[in-house]
Amino acid sequence: MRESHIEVSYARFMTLIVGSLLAGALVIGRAAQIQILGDPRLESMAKRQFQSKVLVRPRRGEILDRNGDTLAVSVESRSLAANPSKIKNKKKMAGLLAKATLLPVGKLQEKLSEKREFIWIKRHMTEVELERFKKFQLMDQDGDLVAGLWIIKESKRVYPHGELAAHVLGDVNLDSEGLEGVELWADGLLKGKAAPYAAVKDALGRAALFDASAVKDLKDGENLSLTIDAPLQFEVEKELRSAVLSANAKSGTVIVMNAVSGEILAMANEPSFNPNAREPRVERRRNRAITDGYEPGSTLKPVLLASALAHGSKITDQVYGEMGSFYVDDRKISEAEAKEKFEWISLKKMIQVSSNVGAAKLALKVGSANYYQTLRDFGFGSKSEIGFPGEISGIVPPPKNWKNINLANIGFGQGLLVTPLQITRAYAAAANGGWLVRPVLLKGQTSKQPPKKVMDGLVENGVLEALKSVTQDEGTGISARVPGYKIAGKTGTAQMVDPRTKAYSKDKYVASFIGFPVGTDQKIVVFTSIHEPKGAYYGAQLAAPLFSRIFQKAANRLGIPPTEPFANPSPLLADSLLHPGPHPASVPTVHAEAPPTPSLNDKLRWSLAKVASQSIDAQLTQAEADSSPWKMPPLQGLTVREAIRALQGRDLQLEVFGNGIVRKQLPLPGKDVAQGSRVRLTLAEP
Amino acid sequence: MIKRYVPLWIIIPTVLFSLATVSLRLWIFRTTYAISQAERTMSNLREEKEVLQAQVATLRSPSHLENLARKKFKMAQPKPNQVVHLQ
Repeated sequence: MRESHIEVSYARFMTLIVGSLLAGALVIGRAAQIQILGDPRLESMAKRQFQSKVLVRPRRGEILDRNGDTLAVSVESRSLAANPSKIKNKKKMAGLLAKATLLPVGKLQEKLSEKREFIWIKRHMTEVELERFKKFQLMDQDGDLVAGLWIIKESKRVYPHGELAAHVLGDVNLDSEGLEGVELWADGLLKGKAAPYAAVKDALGRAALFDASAVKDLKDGENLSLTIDAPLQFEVEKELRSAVLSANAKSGTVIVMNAVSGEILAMANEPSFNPNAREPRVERRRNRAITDGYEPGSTLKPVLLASALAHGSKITDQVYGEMGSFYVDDRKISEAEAKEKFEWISLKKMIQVSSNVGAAKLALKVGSANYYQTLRDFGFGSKSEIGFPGEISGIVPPPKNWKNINLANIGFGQGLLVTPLQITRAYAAAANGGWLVRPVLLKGQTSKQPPKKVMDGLVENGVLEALKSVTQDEGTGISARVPGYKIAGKTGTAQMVDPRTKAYSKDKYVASFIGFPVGTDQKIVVFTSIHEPKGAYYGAQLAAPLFSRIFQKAANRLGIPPTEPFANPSPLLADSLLHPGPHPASVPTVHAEAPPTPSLNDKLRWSLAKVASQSIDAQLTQAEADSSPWKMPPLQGLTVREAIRALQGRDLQLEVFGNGIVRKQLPLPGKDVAQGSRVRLTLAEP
Repeated sequence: MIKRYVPLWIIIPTVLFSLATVSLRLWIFRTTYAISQAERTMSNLREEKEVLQAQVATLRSPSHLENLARKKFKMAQPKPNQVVHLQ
């Protein structure tokens, strides 16, 4: 009995041993399976515990002007996020956050009560706000926030020039995605390629160790160079703002374009906005030069003239002015001013005095089919292919719907819709020899098609002659004249349709002027318009003077030399600084040098002044101190600029002959030179 | 006798191998950490550069320069006939 009991116990013991060994073997086997063979499910669980996927956003590309100056750049900023489930006292936290971020408490309480694990509290915070986090004990001295809050580094778009070229640049949203302008247009290029990569998390769940090899997949956004010239854009915006304010107008637009390459050098709209401040008003953000159409009025008459000349008319042909008015389809067409009563006028005169009756009669003579075709050839009714978002094609009604009154109206620029860019482009054709170029805003932007010839030599000459007469005596554009330049252009005063009555308003006008210099090497076209001015509303009164001021600035900036003698040469600034006399001195921002004397033709006469890096007083004091004779330096082999630099600071009359580098000089090197002496340099090609 | 010392022969390379493995793991960890720190430094320097770049752009802006020229250096725009264009 006892033996059998022992046997049973032994068997149980052995069973237990074997069972334990088997269980142990199973555990070891499973462990070996996991460790050696691996289990994808467990592997991913483990990875989730100590690794995180980080999406690294690339650096957004910069936007530069044509000279490489930065117009838009991205900088790192800090945003505050929270996990509401980890915040115990939400009411107290909302109160502290309100003090630190200056956000409304109610809004913060609402946010913190959300059943989410991630919410934004404030994006792109300032350093001052971050300092307040320490003050209200939301952040310790090491920069660690209280539980449930954390700081996330983000990229923020900054426009260092503020409003400058805002309508061209556009802006981005909080996530740095393009919303308008070039930011939207070139968003794909600017934003680059984001790359996800693994990082090891630290005890607090923050990404600590990065997989550096994965960074190779990250591609930063490309930098973009615009054709805009920032200093010119600045001057244009300043002049436009002043013109819109003084005319008490609703808005205004200016475009400066290279007539040969189609490059937009400046494009400004007023009112403008600061893209740093996230302007919510759409009407301020719109680039009216491209996205808005208007009835061009008389500025379209040169296109009618081009159509007439292309279809057999001559610039000397005459139309009858009907003594101020006539009827077409029982509708009266009259001149802008009741006092304008023309009889027979030539086509050139029609443009010069901007006769509506003459244009209407010429349009009736040209015919709707011909005129329509010319309008289309000049690019009206279709997009300019500039590529800018929101560009409209304008409206040129199909000729089958035109009655005589429509044709007559379109003859003087009413009854169709064009954009400022389209009409600037059409005038560029008159400036560049008859080629319709594609406007471009990005440097290196090329056209799929070559420019189209829209005017042959005779037509272009006729249009140019007529446009030149506009700024001559008796023309409507006298106020567009610029001293030293011969200007061709056309004024326009177009009636606007009142949206309430759907009829032409008697007090809403668009005053415009488009012009360009004649005889210069550089061909630029300047478009100016003032919308809905109060008081004076004629293009000649508002837009033409604005053109004159802007062209003067453009000529200085782009180095377009005068082609005409100045009517009343004023004393040189340098002379007035060094020899104070009755003439009040104004101070230049650049070298003060004498204008070319008309009688010298190929030689220039210079008066050297001290460079204006010193104050006037300092310059005058130094000029008096430098009255003793000095030795003439050797100038042979130098360029004119280098020679001027070598002579800088001396009161000399410098005469330069020829082009190239200095070959001869008088006085010779080493000779004594007294103040006020004449120095003659003869240049020759190297 | 040989059997008696066999475990020792196994223990020594095992210990050495373990030490080498651990030190290699440590070295890899340190290097990765150093790379990570360098990345962080680069990121901070880039951040600083971007801020400075924005500051430079602001200082070079035409409005700032004009303001300086007018107020600090008492300059004014030249009249049209006081400008000579060098060709």
